[in-house]
Amino acid sequence: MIIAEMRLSVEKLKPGMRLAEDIYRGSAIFCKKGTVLTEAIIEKLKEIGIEEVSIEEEISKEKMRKFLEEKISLVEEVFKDVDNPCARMIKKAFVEFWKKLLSDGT
Amino acid sequence: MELKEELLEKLPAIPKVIYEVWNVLEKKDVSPETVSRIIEKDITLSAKILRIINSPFYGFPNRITSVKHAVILLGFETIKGLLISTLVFGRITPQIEELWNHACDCATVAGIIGKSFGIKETDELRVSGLLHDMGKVIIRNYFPELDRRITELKERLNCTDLEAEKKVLGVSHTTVNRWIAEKWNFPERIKDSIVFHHEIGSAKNKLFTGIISLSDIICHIYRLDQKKRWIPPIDERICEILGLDEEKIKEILSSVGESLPYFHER
Repeated sequence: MIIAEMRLSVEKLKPGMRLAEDIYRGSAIFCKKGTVLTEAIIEKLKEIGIEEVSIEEEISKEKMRKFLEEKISLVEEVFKDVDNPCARMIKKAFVEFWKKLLSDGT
Repeated sequence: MELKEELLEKLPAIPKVIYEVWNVLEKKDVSPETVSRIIEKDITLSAKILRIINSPFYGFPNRITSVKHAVILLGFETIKGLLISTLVFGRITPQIEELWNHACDCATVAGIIGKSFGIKETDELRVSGLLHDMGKVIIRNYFPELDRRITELKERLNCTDLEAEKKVLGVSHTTVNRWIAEKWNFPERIKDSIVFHHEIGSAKNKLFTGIISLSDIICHIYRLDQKKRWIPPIDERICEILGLDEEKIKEILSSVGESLPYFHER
């Protein structure tokens, strides 16, 4: 399994999700990274005015591979009519970037 | 022009405390203490500023807990820009969440690129990144009907936002940026970069603006998905202006991958 990080608005939080960052209240830590959210914690987050947090999401290797392959094909797609040397260079770097993650991860 | 007048009228009123800070910043020899004392009078504003600078894109190793510390660390131009950010992104509602996420991405990437080119004003670059699409935020918040038509057109024609905006509004978000920047008297470099990030040739400060343009492009490519299948036009002068080569772009993307984690393995 691969752990992905996702930004979510507090409105979308559900009990059972895990925090991917420390949440501060003023200068003190209110909730530590890794905390599993409960209804009570979610209510408290809203109460103290937190608007969004990072949470962890588990992704299977298969899903991640598909995700990266899709990224590569989307890059190819959006660049198909763009043709200047600078854009070509940026495109090449992106394709290599996603391909490297693909070969590292699977 | 009708839209311009209506839009400027609808802009949020500038709170008294922000006016006070802006006025003080115009003077010479103003100290960080003076500035932070004014900001601290407004607890909500202080909290907003501290929240922005403590968000991941600033990446300060230690948490900044005092406004004075923030003013000393960031400098006046950046503080002025941050005050503007609190006005534009007053509350992150679901409607503007996507724009806020892109703004934060772009602030992060602008900081990364600035650093990699050894630019001194990386904080100012981050604020520019945060504000580069502020016109879109204002349109979405205050002209939801026009915004809906822009989105619809963009999806139907699969075109860039610039093209759709011009068809619906008659102008693009960069022109809206200029209206607001002039009305609110933005710091020069920030104004230049948010107005010209889609036409760097016209920018006064080409390096600064080129960095914002490249950040925007990188963020759009980085976040491509089935629902978002377009990128802004890439001006080929960017490479020349920044001195961007294969090695450099590779280095930048690798830092972006570390700072904007889409996933990480355990």
